Amino acid sequence: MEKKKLKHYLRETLSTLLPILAALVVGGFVILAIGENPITTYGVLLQKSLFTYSGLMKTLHYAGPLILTGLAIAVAFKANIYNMAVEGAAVLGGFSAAVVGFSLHGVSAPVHIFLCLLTGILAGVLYTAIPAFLKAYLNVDEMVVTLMLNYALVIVLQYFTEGGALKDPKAGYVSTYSVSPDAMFQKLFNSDLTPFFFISIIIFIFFWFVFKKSKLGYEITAMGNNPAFSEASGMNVRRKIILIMLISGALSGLAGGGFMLSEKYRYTLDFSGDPGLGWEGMLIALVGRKDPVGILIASIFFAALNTGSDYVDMFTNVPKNIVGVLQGIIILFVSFRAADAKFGISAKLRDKFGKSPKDAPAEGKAA
Amino acid sequence: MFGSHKKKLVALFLSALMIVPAAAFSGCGSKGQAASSGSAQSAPQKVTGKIALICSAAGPNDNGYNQSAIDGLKEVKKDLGIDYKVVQSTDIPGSLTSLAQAGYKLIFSLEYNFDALVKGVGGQKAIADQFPDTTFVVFNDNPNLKADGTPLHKNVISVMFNVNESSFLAGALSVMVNENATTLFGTSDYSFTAGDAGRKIGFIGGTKSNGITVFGYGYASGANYEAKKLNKQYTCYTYYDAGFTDSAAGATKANTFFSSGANVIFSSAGSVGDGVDSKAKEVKKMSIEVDANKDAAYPGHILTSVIKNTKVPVYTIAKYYNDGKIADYGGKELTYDLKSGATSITDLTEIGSKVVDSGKDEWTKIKAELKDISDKIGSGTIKVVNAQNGEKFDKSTLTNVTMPND
Repeated sequence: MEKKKLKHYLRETLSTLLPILAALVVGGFVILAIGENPITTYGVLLQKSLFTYSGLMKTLHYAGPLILTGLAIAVAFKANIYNMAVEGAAVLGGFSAAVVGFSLHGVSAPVHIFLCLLTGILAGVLYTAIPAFLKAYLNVDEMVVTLMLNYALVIVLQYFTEGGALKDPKAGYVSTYSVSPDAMFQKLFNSDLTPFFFISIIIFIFFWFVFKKSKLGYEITAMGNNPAFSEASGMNVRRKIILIMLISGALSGLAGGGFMLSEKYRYTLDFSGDPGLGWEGMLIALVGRKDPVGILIASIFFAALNTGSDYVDMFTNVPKNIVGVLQGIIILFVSFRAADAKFGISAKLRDKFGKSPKDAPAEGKAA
Repeated sequence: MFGSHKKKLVALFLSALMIVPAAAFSGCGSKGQAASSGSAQSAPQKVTGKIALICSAAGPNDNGYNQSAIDGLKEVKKDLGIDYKVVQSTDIPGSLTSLAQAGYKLIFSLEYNFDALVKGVGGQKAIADQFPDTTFVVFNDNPNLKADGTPLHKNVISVMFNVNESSFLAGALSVMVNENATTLFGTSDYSFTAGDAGRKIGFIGGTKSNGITVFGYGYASGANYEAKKLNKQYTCYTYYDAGFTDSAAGATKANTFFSSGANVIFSSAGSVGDGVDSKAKEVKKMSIEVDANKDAAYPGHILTSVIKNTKVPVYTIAKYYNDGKIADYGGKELTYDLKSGATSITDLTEIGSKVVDSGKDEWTKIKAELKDISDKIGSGTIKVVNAQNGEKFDKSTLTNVTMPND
């Protein structure tokens, strides 16, 4: 029994790592194709982002909001709710936190930060409430609504940033005022790390318990596996949908707010970056197989890619876009894994092309 | 997962491992990109006397803003023998710090985001304070000011371009060409919308920032100047949210302007301009490019380019640095106007070659008028609003141009 469990974990870990490794190999060929050395490049990428003090701190700093958006996606996806509003909720959370950050005066720093984050969370919750209620009461497809809502939101925020009371007239570019210094998370240990990372970790631990040990966690899994059965067995699925969506929104809003107060300090049109906190969170949740520990590891890995990409550009002749290439390939492999789990592609392929009998016992359970 | 496929994967992986070291030896040295300094792979060693440049979002191959600056550095390397490093970054403060730590003493940043540099964020000292021996050069904005207007840091230089003036010239040129299109270019290769329906021009900008509106407002003002002289009424369509990368979106937007009757569209939006140019060619009208001289990219369809030549300040400042005079300029705001040569419009040879014989006289007149305007700007007779310095633009002063969607 124990051995079986160990084997199970091993396979899980391998299956998590495989898309990443495969992407690194394919990316290696891309680097070779432009006439550079993949090993040096990956060396710089990983060494600078994980094995230097300032690099590691920066990686952890970037991982903070990604852990939260990763959890936000996972909590919804696990329950079979495809909440794409995480990106929008994070952006709105950041924007709202910034507005409170520069317009509120005369409160002490911790209170100010607390109020900013609270506003960010509330903004995320309210924003996600729209698709949540539409889904729960009118059965409107949440994927379409949440996806489209993000685009509408970006335009609305752009409107507020380009003119009017929130735009910083002194900035030569499109930007709100910068949050006041007492609303900024202070950098710690002479590095980029701020207390926000520890907040993210506390939330992470909390959600580990929710996923693994709580009734809600069990219900989420049950809903994901079979919503009809969950309903029949007495769960109020409608209320659970709303609850799960709002939790997802709160996590996203907090991610955006924290990112604002610890990294960006003002809302600009490229606040969420490329591809964006929410989309990166989705990738992280999928790579991490919607499992908290997987998400933690994937967040740090993707944060390391972000940190490393600037160093790759600085210390090698490989353009930083290589990281975008890697992310793209990872998406490809992860999608294959997801499709495989659903449609059993590899099993079908195996049936079609036959396999050597030696492989049979080891491969039997993979599909 | 794959059975026999898995083996293939393993084999592939192993062969990758075999190839890599071989490539490591053959790939070294000779293939370094032009934009980067050759031996960059030796990671964090201290460098002395090297210059670094951080690109804006448009990237090093934008045929304009970034590329001109890099051209400046190439010339610096050729003339003065100073090595340089070009960096693309999304984390501007992080890159400024890393470069300064790595020993670069002169760092140009073509991207915005100055808080960490001049003010310091999250309780940290301003980057300019952390590295007092490094000179940081920023563009298009002067964040290095205290409330009383004195500089915050002695090691930050702000570079400003008076592109409002060159845009003014482009606006005047657009109106003159539009009024005389048939005389100048004949009718076989162009299909300008004629009459009042065609008294329209357009401006497409990447984002609604002072650094972009400065072009648009100058352009509209120049068009107004000439339209007033000719006593015609013009419309200037504007769009400020094109971004800097999506040329397909540029073509779409340009198409709506062109099909509404606009004959010339000026775009200041990085690669978006490519789409505007190709659309201009497709509908047989004209576009105006920005930053570098791109007239030859679509011969006969790019009327001119409003040059904002980052090469000039990059080269000049690098020379100050090389001569040990950089401290004299620290904390200053250096402005490059029409006279400096860093901003201008092109000499119009490309479009001039398309002028038909019967239009040569008119063309000479137009060029003379441009020269006259240029002189008047130089002498201060014509004052062009400069949105970049925070000057307010009052649309109601434009008597002969309306801007319906500004």
